[in-house]
Amino acid sequence: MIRHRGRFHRQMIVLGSMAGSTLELVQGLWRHGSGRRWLIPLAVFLCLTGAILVLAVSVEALAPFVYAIF
Amino acid sequence: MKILGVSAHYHDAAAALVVDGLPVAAVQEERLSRRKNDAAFPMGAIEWCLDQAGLRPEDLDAVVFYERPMLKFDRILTSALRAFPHSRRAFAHAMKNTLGEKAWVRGLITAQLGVRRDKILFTEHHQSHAAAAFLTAPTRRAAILTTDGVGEWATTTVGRGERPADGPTRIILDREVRFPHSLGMFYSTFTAYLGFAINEGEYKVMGLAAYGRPSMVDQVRKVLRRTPDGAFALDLDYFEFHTSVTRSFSRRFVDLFGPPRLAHEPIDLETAEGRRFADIAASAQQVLEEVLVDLTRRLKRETGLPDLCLGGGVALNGVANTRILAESGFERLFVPSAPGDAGSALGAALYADRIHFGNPDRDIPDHPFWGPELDEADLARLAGEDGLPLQILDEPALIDLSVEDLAHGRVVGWMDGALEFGPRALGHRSILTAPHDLAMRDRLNRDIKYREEFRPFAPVVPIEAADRFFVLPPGGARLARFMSGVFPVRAEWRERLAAVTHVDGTARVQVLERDMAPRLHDLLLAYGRRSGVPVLLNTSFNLAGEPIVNRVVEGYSTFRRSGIDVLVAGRSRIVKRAVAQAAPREEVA
Repeated sequence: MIRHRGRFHRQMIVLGSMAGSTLELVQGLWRHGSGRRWLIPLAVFLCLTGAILVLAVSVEALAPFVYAIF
Repeated sequence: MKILGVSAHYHDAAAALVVDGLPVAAVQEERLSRRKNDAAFPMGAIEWCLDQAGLRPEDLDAVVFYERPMLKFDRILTSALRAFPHSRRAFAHAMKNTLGEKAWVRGLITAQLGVRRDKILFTEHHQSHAAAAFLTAPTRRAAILTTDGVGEWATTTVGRGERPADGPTRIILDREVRFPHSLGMFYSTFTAYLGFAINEGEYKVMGLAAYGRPSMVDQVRKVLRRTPDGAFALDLDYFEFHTSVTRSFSRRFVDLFGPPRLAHEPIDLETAEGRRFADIAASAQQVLEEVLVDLTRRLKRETGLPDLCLGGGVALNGVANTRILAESGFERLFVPSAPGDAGSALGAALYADRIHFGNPDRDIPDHPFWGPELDEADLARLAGEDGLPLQILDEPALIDLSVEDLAHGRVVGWMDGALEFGPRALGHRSILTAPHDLAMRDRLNRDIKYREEFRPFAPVVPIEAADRFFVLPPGGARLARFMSGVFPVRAEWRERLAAVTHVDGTARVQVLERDMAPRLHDLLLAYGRRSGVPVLLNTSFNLAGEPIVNRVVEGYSTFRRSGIDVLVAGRSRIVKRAVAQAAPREEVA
């Protein structure tokens, strides 16, 4: 039996995991060597954007403000 | 150890549970959610797998996702930037699509299941395919070829696997072809060009190919070139799948092959335009086969092994598989019942068990029935609500009545035991009919399956009688175990097997051993005693656009909404009122 969490709780857990996943991506790009390292700032920026999108989905009150940025 | 494998987010989400080295449950999400090709995170499938084993998420030793989402994100980002500015729209779409959920799978699994982060593992996409193909096959050492649309970066890998009785299991993938050069994307592009849905209509291209002549292979070889190292490369000027979200082929592709078919246009093979589409399908199919045969010949030379395991969505191309068996030099070819992404859930769990954790190897039962079991009591309830008389019969009586139904040209919905894992109905969720005349094929297409008339139906035959009706080369019966090969129907039987013989005289036959589905095997033998031909038409138990039925309620609903005459679920049988009251039909057997 799976204990189902509310959407807000789930999204907060996803949000909390993003730093680790982003670090994993950065490590992967770094290991590729200099040819790909220039991608790291863009990848981190996009991951932060993803975090903001997840935040907008989690906290509906914030969504209009977040979407206004885009 | 208790290991849950999960595949999701692109097509065919699924979950599989491995306990102490053996699968105990595996099911595609679509079979539970009732949304065809459901790609959503498979909560329904996971919940069912855990319930089946009486486990809670915290009892799991590991949850394994079938690919590395961050490596995939890396590929999407890099590919989009390489094609910039042409890819600007695709880039925005891909980022929105990926960054919302797909990239954060570790967090998603933690949030949904509550398992600790350190219990969440990832395999590479093609490692999962390779494990699904090799670790489920009854062989100790084999060469491995996986090929599909794309995983993280790899689209095709070759290697070998070993599972010695007294040592560690190994899967070594030696070489790979990387995105955007992809046999899966190549075939899918032709699928889109011919007006069919990508990831769904590839079967139709294969079926259509039999009606055409490969008169355009030179043009196809321009778009899919061979490379000096024995691999292949797409000429990207002809493709747009890597720069666009809406279109797979470019203007140059259209200049080369002519105008594409619109999805709503019927294919009329009597017209020049219809024949052109069939010729293009035949040419693409032939070039795909040539590439696969060359790859596997080389793999045979390198490994010297007698067995080959095939994984990835391209392994669903039965015509190509048969050519590989005939021309590669491998003696046996193993294709799992679910070689595509759904099967990767099982592959990922097995890979983690054998290779990540180093657990001892165990032989996997050689059948596809890992899904939910049938609950016959449901049929009694449903039939009672609708006032349909239900018969609960002993085994011999059920077989006898079913043989009579089939011999009188009735269409039988056949549900038995546990659901198949994979895209094909292999005798537990099937629609069965007599295979003798074309009118039956047309009736199935018109009243039940609602599909294009050029698509063939498949036969099922007991292994003892297979050689009598079909030309099976050495290793053919094995390939036909999960309907993974296409073989000629013997010329003298084509007329009697007209409903299952394709226009080119072949059939995608299922060769059935009794151990796999005893009740269907008994039915085939009994039907053979009655008609002289122990062969039945076997098509998946679903209507167009719906997943294969799972529970009795779905089988019953399909039965009521279509031209199926009789529904058998386990030992229970119901007949449509109109059929029961009608005068006996003329025998077709």
